[in-house]
Amino acid sequence: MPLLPKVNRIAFRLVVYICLFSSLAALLSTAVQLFFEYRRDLDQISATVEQIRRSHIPAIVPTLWGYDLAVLAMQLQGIKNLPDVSYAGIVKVVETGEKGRGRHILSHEFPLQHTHRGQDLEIGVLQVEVSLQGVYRRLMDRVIVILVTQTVKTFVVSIFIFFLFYATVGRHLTTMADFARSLSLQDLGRPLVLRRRADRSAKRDELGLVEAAINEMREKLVGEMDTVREAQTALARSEERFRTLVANIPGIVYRCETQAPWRVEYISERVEQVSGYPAADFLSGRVAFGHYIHPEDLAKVEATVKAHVAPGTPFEVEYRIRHRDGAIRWVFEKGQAVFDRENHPLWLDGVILDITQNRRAEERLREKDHLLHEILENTSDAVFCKDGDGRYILANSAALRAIGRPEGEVVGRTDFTLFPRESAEVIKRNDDQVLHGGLNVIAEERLIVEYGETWWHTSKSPLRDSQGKTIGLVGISRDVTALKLAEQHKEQLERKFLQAQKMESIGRLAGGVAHDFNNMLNVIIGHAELALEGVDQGAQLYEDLQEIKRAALRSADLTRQLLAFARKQTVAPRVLDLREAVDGMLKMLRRLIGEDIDLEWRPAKRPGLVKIDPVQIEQMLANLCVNARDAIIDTGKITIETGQVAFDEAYCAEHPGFLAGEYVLLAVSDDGCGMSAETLTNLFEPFYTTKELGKGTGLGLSTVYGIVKQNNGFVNVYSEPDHGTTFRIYLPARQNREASLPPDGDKAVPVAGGGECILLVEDEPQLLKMTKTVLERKGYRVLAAAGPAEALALAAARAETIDLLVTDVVMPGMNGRELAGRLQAATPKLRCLFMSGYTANVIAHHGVLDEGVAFIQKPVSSRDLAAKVREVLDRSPLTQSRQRAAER
Amino acid sequence: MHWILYVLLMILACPLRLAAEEQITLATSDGIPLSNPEGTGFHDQVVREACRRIGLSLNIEHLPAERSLINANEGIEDGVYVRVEGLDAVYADLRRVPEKIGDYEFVAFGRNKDMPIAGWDSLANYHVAIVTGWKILEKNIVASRSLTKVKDAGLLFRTLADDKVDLVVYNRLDGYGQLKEMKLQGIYALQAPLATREMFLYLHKSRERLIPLLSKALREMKGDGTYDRIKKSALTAYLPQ
Repeated sequence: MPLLPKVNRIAFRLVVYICLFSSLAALLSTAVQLFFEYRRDLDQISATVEQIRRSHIPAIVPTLWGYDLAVLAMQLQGIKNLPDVSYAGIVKVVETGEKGRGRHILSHEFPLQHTHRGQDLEIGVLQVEVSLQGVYRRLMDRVIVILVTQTVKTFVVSIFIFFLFYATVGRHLTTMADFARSLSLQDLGRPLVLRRRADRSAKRDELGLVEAAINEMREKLVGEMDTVREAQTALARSEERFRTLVANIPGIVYRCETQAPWRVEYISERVEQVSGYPAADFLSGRVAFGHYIHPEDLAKVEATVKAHVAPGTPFEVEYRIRHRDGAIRWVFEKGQAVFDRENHPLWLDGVILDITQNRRAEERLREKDHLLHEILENTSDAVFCKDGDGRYILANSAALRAIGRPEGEVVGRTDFTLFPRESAEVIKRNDDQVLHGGLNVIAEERLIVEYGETWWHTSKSPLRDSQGKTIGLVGISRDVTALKLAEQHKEQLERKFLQAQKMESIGRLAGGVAHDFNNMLNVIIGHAELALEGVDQGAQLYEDLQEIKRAALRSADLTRQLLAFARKQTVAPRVLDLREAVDGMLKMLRRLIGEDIDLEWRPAKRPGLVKIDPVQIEQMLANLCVNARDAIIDTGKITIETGQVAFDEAYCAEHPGFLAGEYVLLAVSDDGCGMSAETLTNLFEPFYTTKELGKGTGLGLSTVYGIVKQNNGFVNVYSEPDHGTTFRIYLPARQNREASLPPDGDKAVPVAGGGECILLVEDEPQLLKMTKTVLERKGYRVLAAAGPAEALALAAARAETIDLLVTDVVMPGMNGRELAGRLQAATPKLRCLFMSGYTANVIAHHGVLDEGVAFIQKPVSSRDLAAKVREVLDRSPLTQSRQRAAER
Repeated sequence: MHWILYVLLMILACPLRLAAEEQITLATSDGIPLSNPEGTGFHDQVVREACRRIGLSLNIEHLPAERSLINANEGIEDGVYVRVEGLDAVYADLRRVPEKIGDYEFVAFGRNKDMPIAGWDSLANYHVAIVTGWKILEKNIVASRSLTKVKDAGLLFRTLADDKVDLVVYNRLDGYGQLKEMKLQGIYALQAPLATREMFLYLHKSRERLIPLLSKALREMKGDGTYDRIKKSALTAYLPQ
């Protein structure tokens, strides 16, 4: 048996306890005894005081009345000799003992009364002081005696009990302890045997029962071992499962106090990963949850937990913690209070998850959302999303502005409630391709909105869910209305440019062709005329020659129209009254349109002065009237009218092609079949015609257009199918008539020559020969030169005899104008007549002849040539000088 | 008519005033023959006559010597008689009537009339007894062989008669009276007096106004023979033959 330390033995402790208890009991009993002793002494004192009152005072009063101080002193001494009385005295008379000495004094006063003359007189006061010192001293003496006797008694009893206890109980307990210490699950076969008397009473006392119980327990243990082992195994497995479960939970599992700072009862190891503090720190109480919660979140956490602890509801809270390394982390906590049977909250059970990554991801997502929102709201493009039914689920500010409605009126609605049906259907067609075809669609959508027509360049793509299923579409639209208008304007300009190019090309073609073609026609016409002069008018040959001549003249007209349309026609404009000019052409026009069509002439009330070659007026009216005639099926009416109009800047801004100013109107209207929009579009195209093959050249209206443009005017066409067409030609108005040569008119002009000498220059040999013949037959002397060089040579040889230079304009090496200039430099009086099928701006600018220049258009008939030559020769020297000045 | 009525009223009022004569209570510790319970002692008669002369009715209270002073000083009684001069220095509320009532001769009484007594020092060889509270005696008898203080004159002379002391010191007249009352024989007043003190009437300060009146009355009594006549009539029976 191992020796126990003395202080650990039950017997020793028992003795100590007995001593302590006995001492305590002795103290208590002593205190009680002393208390009663004290009460008894106090009662004794009270009895003494009462004795003084009853016995001494009646004796003192007469003595005091008699003022027998010696007797009084004795009487007071008698009082003082009573137990515990420390002082007795009559106030201001006599005293015995020391008054008020010591702390524990009970003072009593007795009034001394004497009946004198029938009255009770207080003749003095007896003061008696009783000291408690004696009482206390007696008590102290009793205490010491009691304590000493109690101590001795207790010590003796304790020693006895010690040995008694050890002999009867202690040693057997030691044996049981040794047995229990040596007992193990592997050694349960040895029973406990106490060495005691082997009688039956020993078996039935407490130790015997304990011995039997231990042995019974040992036997049961043997039987229960298997169960225990199984339970231990199950517990170990359960704990392992719990540890595994907790270890696999991606967070902290805890049980902690219900109030801040929430010291833990249990916490999983993962807390170190989240907080940086090992679980041991939490379990030891050095660290609590509240210590590492971010100070700014602590109040929120505390309030949340507090609000859910009392009702026992689960709580969830997100907050920041300060990691041991100083980093801030976000955690999510979910917990609930656990209550005891009396419904008092015991613990908080819960889990804490580290959501720092989630939080950061949310913040990044939020920033991304913000960025996307900013992009969406700050882009000028309309961005929108629709669901599978075409309902808007998102529209940015630009989209709302484009639609012209607030978000509340857009989201959840389809385009059919936002746009006119025509526009909505356009949108839906494109949407269907995206929603049902899964295509990315880029299209231009024309929408009608409140403020008018708009064009949108729209890109639409399918909006898919996570499985790739199309759940809607996302679209981006850009307002390209301005761009569209610009493009339309550009297209219009391009069309005009192309038209101009076409005109230019045709003009060049016509000009190029006209020069040589006119020369050929001139030869044909000339020779035909020469031949006609030698043939009888009744002969078949005469008619044939006439047909040749007419064909040549029609060809010449065709050429002239080409030139006119291409604005290459050489004209000699002059200021004239359009009203008078038209009036002079009515007869010709009536013949042109026939008898079935009525021609109405509405001249302006005031003269309309314009500067134009009268031939061109005739060309325009003839073409317009022929077209009008052809538009009228049977009978109808053609109206020609003139007038004055003025266009201001505002009007011109709304009518492209118009220029501000005052204009003279020439309008030709018919009530014919009118024209379609397509026809109107191509109206002035050269060679465009709606007439049957062979009935129109397609040059009529283009000739009109060319003439109008050549004269800085513009033309407007209004036509309605089945109602008719009106051409309005506006020519710049002139204020005054210019001094100009009077028109030739149809007067008869002299054509015969007077033997004057004409220097004829023509690089076309056939034409040179034919013209030379014509002029010589008219009575002129002709010096024919095949080119400028030859002409100069002839002029140099016979300068004084040449009266007129008739020259082609376009010639290789030197043009006609240069030639004339050089010849006139030598012979100032030399007159010049230019003759050309195409002047190429040599003597005219943009087809308009320079002032004073004499010109005759090829092909020219013999008569016209002779007349022109005669006219130039007969022209006054003033005219010639102006001509020369112009040539310089 | 009015003045007649006023005079009548005054006349009627005078008997009433006389009938309601003012009473004064004076304490005294004097014994026979100076004072007795009947109020016919020498001093009783003198003081009564003086009071009577100033219109006062005298009530006499016999009290122990110190008690009489205490009571008079506290105003329980209106005054005290007769006491030696100077007590008003001890009892602040007492006022002395300057005209003395009589003289106290402090003499030694002994059983032997030849005992040589001459002054306080001559008491040095004797056992002496006195009555408690007699200040003059307590003050001057300092050299006696022993000094016994007793409660009253009866005990005093009984002490002497029983031979417990050699001498007793007491007022002569009181001693004569006590001896007569106790019917003691063979005790003598020894010549000459140890001290003689004039004895006065003291009044409480509340009765101070009476002092001149009483003084005047006493002087008149002494002048007109009343005093002597009372003395003779009151003391003759007690004086030694």
